[in-house]
Parts: sequence; C-alpha cells; structure tokens
Amino acid sequence: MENKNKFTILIADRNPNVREFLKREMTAEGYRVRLAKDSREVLKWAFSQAPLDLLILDPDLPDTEEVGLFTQINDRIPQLPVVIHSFQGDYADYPEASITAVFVEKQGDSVEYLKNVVSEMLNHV
Amino acid sequence: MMNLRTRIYLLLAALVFVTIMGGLVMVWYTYRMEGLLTHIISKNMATFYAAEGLEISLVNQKGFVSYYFLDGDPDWLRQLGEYRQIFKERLKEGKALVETERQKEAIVRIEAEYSRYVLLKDQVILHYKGGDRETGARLHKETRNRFFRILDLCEEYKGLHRESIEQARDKSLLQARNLRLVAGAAILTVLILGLLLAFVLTKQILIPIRRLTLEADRHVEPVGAGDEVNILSQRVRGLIKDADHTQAALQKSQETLVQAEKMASVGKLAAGMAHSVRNPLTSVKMRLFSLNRALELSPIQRDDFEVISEEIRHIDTIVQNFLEFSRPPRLKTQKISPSEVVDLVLQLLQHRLESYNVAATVSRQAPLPEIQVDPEQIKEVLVNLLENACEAMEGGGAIVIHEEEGFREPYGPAVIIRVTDTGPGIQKSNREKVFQPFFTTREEGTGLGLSIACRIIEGHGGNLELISERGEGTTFIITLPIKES
Repeated sequence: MENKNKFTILIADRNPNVREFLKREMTAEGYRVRLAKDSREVLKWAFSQAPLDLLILDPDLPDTEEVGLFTQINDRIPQLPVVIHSFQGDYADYPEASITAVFVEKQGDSVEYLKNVVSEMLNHV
Repeated sequence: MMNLRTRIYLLLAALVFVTIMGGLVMVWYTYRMEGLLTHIISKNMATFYAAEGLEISLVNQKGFVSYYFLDGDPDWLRQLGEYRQIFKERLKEGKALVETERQKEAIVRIEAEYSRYVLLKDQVILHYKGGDRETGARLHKETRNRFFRILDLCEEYKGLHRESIEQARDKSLLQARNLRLVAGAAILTVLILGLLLAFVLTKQILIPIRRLTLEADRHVEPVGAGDEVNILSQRVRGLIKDADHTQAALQKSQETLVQAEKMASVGKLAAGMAHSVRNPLTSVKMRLFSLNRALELSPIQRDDFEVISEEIRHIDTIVQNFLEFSRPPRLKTQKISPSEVVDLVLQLLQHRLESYNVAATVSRQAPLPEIQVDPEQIKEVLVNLLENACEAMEGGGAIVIHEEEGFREPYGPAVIIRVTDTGPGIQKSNREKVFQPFFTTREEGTGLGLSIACRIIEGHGGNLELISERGEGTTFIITLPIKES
C-alpha cells in the first residue's frame, strides 16, 4: 500500500461523473489522481513537470482527432503505460492505440478489473 | 439509296419479267415459224405444182395436129380438145392461186399467148380439113414457134413460184436467227440478274446474318450447318430475355438502393442517439455497481434495485443493438468449422433453452469444413435465431439445427445451416418485413436482431433467408460460401 502513494494516475473521460467515480475508486486504492476532460488537458498534464505514472484513457474525447492525442503522447512520453478504458466499438476506431495500450472494456462493473490491471502494470514498471 | 427489300424485289421482278418475256417471245416465234412453214407448204408448193401442171398440160397438146395431118383421123383432134380443156382448167386454178403482181402478169400473158396460139392452131386445122395442106403446114410451123414461146412463159411462171418459195425460206431463216439472238440475250440477262441477286443475297443478307449469329453469343460454339436465321432468331429471343432480366434486376437494385439510402440515414440517426445515450448509461451502471457493493437493503428495496438493474440492462442491450446496426460489422475472421460455433452456442444457451422448455438438437453427418468466418459474429447470429425461436414457441417446443455442405447458386460450394422451430410460423405478410430494421412483433424487441443477423451473414458473402408456413414452424437458412483462400 505505501508504495502506491508514489504513483500518479491521469484519468481522461468526457463524462464528469465517470471521471469522479473513477477518481474516487482509484484514490481509495491509494493512488494520486489527476483528471482530464479532453485531449488538451491530457497533453497539459503530459507536458507539465509533475510526473505521470499511468494514463487511464477513454479516447472518445471531444477533440482526440484534431489534437492527434496518441501521436503527441508517443512523442512526449513513449514509455507511459496507457490503459484504454472504453467501449469495444469506440476502441476499434483508434487503431493506433492498440499497439502500446492495454484495453479494458468499459462496463458497469469494469472498475474492479481496471484496478487489477492498473496495479499489475504499475508493479511491473 | 434504295433499301434492301426494294433492291431484292426489283431484282426478282426483273428476273421473272425477263424469263417470262423470253418464254413469250419463243412461243410467238414458234407460231410465226409454223405459219410460215404452213404457207410455204400449202400455198407456195401448191401454186408451184399448179404451174408445173399447166406446163405439162401444154406440153401434152403437142403433136396431135401433126398426127392429124399425117393420117386425117379426127380422133386426134378430139384428144387435143380434151387436153385443151385440161389446160384451161389449170390456167383457171393458177389464176386463182396467184399472189404477186408479177405472177399475175405472167399468167395473163400466158393466157393471151395461148388464146392467140389456139386461134392460129384452129386455122391450121381448118386448112388441113379444107385440104389446103400447104398453107396449113406453113401456119403450122408458126404455131410451133408460138407454142415454144408459151412453154418459155410457163417455165418463167414456174420460176417465179420457185423464187417466192426461196424468199419464204430466207425469211424463216432470218427469223430463226433473230430468235436465237433474242434467246441468247434473254439467257445472258437472266444470268446477270441471277448473279446480281445472288451477290445481294450473300453480301447483304447471308454474310451479315452469319456474322450476327456469331456475334450474338460468343460463348456458343461457331455455327455449323444449321439454319442461320433460326439460330439468329433464337439468339435474339435470348437477348430480349436477357434485356428483360437486366431491366428487372436494375429496377430491383434501384429499389434496394433507395431502401439502402433510407436505412443509411436512419442508421446514422440511430447511431448518434445510441452513442450519446450509452455514455451516461454507463455512468449510471457504474454507480449502480457501486451502490450494490455498499448497500444493505430490505427485501423490497432489493427487489426495486433488481428491477432497476434489469431494465437498465435492457436499455443497454437496445443501445448496443442500435450501435451494432449502425456500424457495419468488423469481421475478425479465422479458419474455423461453423459446427464448433453451433456447439458453443448451444452450450451457452443451455439454461436459457431449458427455461423456455425448448429441446434443441443438431443434425449433422460430419462436422462442417473449416471456413473463414468471424466466430463471434456467427455466434451472435445463431443466438439471435435461437432466441427468436424460443420466443416464438410459447410453452416450449423443439429446435433442430441441420448442417450440410452443398452447392448453391451463385455461391458455388457452401455450408448451409438450417434452424427449424416448431412454432406458429410467420405470417406471409410479415415474411419480407422480418429482416427490415425496427420491425418487431414483440413488446421488448428492438426490431434489429434479424436485420443485424442478415447483415453479418451478408458480410460473410453469404445469405440468410427463411421458409415458413403458418402453423408449420419456421426455418431460417444460413448459407455461407466456402471460399478458396
């Protein structure tokens, strides 16, 4: 538990309630959590000095395409672990995400699985 | 430029005209020849013989007076009188037969000379009778001269007739030569016309027909000895049929296109809506999940909670269906036997089938061959068909899944899966509609299940169809082509 404090997770989702829910769940797990409502905010965090350990991303953000989110993240911090938390169909719209990211299908009870995946990935690093 | 028909008719008419005219001319000439010949034989010959008879009867008068002079027998004079009578008759006949002026002149001269000769001769006879033999002999001598002159005239008269016969012969020869010329010309004309007709027929009808026959259907073996026109008319009928088919197909595809456009815009709308709904819905589901983890609920509250969860799941299914309908299925194909998918689906639905009191069996001789399909999508189709069947059979029933490998137009080798239920069947009026999106007979249905199933199978290059009779159950037939990968 104590080493989890070191990890900062960025959660990006267009739905504020989903964001808040995930923040609550992840904070309860002991992570430091940042939130982003669109791609610009994701990049703002990615380019800031504060270190990021993991990104939970639903690519169905209002401006994913125009910002070129995946390319930018790859350029800036290619080593950043990314968990795609999204619907099956939406995920398929972003073929470039599938190369480096782990996919967790967004469902009512997916948060438990998400927690496991995040914990595993961070412990691997 | 004349058209082909006119040209052929003209040539034919000319050909027939020349032939008939040639024939008529021949017939006419034969009549003329016949007339000429008859004339020569009956008239010219008769007059010739009459002229000869005249001469002979003249010659016969010779000598009688001399005999009388020698022996004084009056019988000689009687005989002379008979021959004179004969000569007169011959002369009358000749006069009746004369044709030309010259002949008439000749015979008139003969008559004149003869009557003078007879007078002179009668004087001689009178002298002899009177005993004046000396004067009689002197006159007698003169009568001889006259006699020979008449003989010459008769010879001349005969010559005239011979001449006219020769003229008639020359005339007929000339006409025969003319006839030959006409016949030759007619033969030549007929030959030329015939050749022209043959040329027109060949060049402008037979060759084009043959070419058309060959062009009309290239797939068929070249025309042999058969009747080209017959074959061509068959080809043309074939072409007309093809055109009809094409027309029908075009019309159908236009209708399909209109339908597809309609569906595309409806689909877009549905997708947009489903996409927007799904996001908050997932948020709700997450919170429900969270609530469910933490809440201690009374049985009534628990029941409420369950219903809410159930209905939200239902909404979620509807939204999922809409989304799936709106986006073309992405096939993740792999080589797998559809039989495996069937088994998997039956395993998956085991409890569901039991709850519907439905017995499902598989009829297959051997597992189907491995083909390129997306097992997830095929699974969805089968689940959909089985669930529909279960829903249709109130109070339970039986489902038979029959698998076979076969040959189906236009797919070629294909696997065929039939899902047959013992339900009430589908009304005729609904049979077309069940594949249309948003058509449903159930309260809870979205009307998208079968249209999605249909699209998935079509996405595999196959086809989904149904056979149903009211009261005799329903069979859905999935046809998937076996493609050589």
